[in-house]
Amino acid sequence: MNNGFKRQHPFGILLNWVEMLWKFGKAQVPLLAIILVKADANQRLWSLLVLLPLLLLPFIAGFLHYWFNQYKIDELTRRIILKEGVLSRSVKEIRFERVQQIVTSQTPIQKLLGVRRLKLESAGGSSNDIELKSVDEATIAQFQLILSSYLHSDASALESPESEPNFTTNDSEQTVFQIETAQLVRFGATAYYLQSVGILIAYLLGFGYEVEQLFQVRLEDTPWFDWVFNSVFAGLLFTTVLFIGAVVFNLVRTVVRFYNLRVFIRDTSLWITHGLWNNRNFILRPSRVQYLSVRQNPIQKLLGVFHLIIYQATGSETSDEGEKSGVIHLVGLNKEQVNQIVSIIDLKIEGDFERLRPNWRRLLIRGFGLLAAVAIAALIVNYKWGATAVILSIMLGVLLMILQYSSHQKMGIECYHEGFCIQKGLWERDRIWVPLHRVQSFKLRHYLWHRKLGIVAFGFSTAAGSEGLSYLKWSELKPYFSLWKARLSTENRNWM
Amino acid sequence: MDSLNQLGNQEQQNESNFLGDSTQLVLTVDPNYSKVVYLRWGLVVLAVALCFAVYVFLQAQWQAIYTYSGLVFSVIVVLYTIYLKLKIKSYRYELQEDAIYVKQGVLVITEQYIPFNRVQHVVINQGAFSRIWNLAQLEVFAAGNQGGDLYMPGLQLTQAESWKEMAIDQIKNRPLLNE
Repeated sequence: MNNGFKRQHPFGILLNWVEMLWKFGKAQVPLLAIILVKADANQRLWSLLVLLPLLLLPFIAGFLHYWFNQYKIDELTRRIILKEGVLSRSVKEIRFERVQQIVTSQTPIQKLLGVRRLKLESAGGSSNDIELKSVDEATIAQFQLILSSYLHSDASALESPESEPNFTTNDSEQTVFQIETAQLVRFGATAYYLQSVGILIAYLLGFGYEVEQLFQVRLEDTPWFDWVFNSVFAGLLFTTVLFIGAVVFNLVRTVVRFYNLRVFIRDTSLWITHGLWNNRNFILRPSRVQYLSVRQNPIQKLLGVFHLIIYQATGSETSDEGEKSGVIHLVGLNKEQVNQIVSIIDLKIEGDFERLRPNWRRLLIRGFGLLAAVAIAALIVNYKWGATAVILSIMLGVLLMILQYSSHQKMGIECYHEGFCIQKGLWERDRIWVPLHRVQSFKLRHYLWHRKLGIVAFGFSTAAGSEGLSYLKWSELKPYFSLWKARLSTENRNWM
Repeated sequence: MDSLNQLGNQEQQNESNFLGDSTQLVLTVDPNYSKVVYLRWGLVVLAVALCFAVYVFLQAQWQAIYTYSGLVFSVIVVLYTIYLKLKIKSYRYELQEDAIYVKQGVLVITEQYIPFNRVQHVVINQGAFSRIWNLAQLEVFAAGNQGGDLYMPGLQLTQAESWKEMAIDQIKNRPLLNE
């Protein structure tokens, strides 16, 4: 090892191999399946002889990747350096104080070997992120120790004193809260309903016909109400079965992913860990969170569980797991725990506010759009489905209308002097808290024919993404908008 | 403001925007910009028409469907040309006291606003056709990957450069954090 550069844990070779194999091999899966099913013994033998050396190639690639990826924690110049690439070498450097977030994850197999996957995210986007596939625990601890102290030290250098998080500086670990499994179950059983149900209904409409035949034997002789009852019963039965399936799936997924969700403070940085199979750990700077969103659907409101989403200024590209990097989800929180996080992150917006509601035209247009979608779906399946499709679509339409209406009633934007809070969402309803000093730019959009009515869609963008609310009355928004404009241009608090 | 006036034309506000401010420096796109846009669009039309012609030429005889598709294509060309004309007309840029403002759009009208203290970097972009008439596109970027960025096509190069200088001056004049 030359001048302090280290390689990853040798286990990384295996991990690299599997990853490379998947990367190059996933397109070949159908081919393999065909060979396995169709080929005779002789052909299989030949395929095997060809395939075995092919398995070796990713291994070599993985090994080279392991051999040439070298990292170094340079405490003297306060930066982490990663040399990578086999033929075209590149050197990535992140200064300690520029690290936005440290993410580690560990599966039980990795735990057995005492290694973790590590990712250091900076605000610049994922091309600047440093990712190490397997690093041993001791080095991880070293990373976390150095970086979490810098996560804090930079904050005090750049931020004005009043935006400093108001917790005491000490080395000890201070648990903020831990989510009980019961709370997680409560959340998991009520989460992601609408999306799953939508997919299931689509599935039902596509494949239900054949199954429905079972319920419709000898239709000709039965009276019409029996027939209607039977078809509706069939439809409802299958919706129910699939619905229960969706609930169980969501429940298992939530519990496995967020098991033992724990939030604590160490060295004044915020630590979040969770996961049953893949244990993840996030370390972030509370003072660098851009905005946050408190999400809750009507059933969760009854149960008193919340979903908190923390948006940070990192690259907005989605990562391998299909999640936005820099966006952290905390689920199953109760109200008090939400308030704790909000006060740690210091995103509390207080003072007088005025609540602006979207125009009724929004309800009309959105409602019409939903109805049209349902009607088109019904028309498509109607030719072979008959009464069931019609009745189910009417029920679905009515349900969606009720949902749309109730969601419209809750929709709005709370205008504060120091920021705003947007409330929106059909089923999963968000309260998006945005402090003014995080805003980068404003955007107003309106249709040509809304100009006279003075209806605009209000939008803003921060370093962590864009949001907005449509169909607002400009005459109501204008005073706040002018205020925000003026404040923003004289704002000297750091938006980071 | 006198020195600013040579950078753009002071224009009377026609009450067509929400965020605009008539007392500020206002710019619309250079008249030559429409030539650039039409040239670009013309090339696309030409390419499609050429492909169509070659295809028809290779076929044995003329069919009714060719007439119809030709008619539909011409209608699309005419409509899109009108749309482009309106779109070019719709651009409006303002260098306000503390922000850059851009308005554009025909059916959906978008107004964007970036305060100078949020500007991350400024880029001048010159396409091949724009170079003929010495035009440029000024791009103003805020932090974050999407949403907040401004694109201002159809400026004269000198004008774009002076606007860029202005923007950079504005950024420079702002006190750094905690200083």
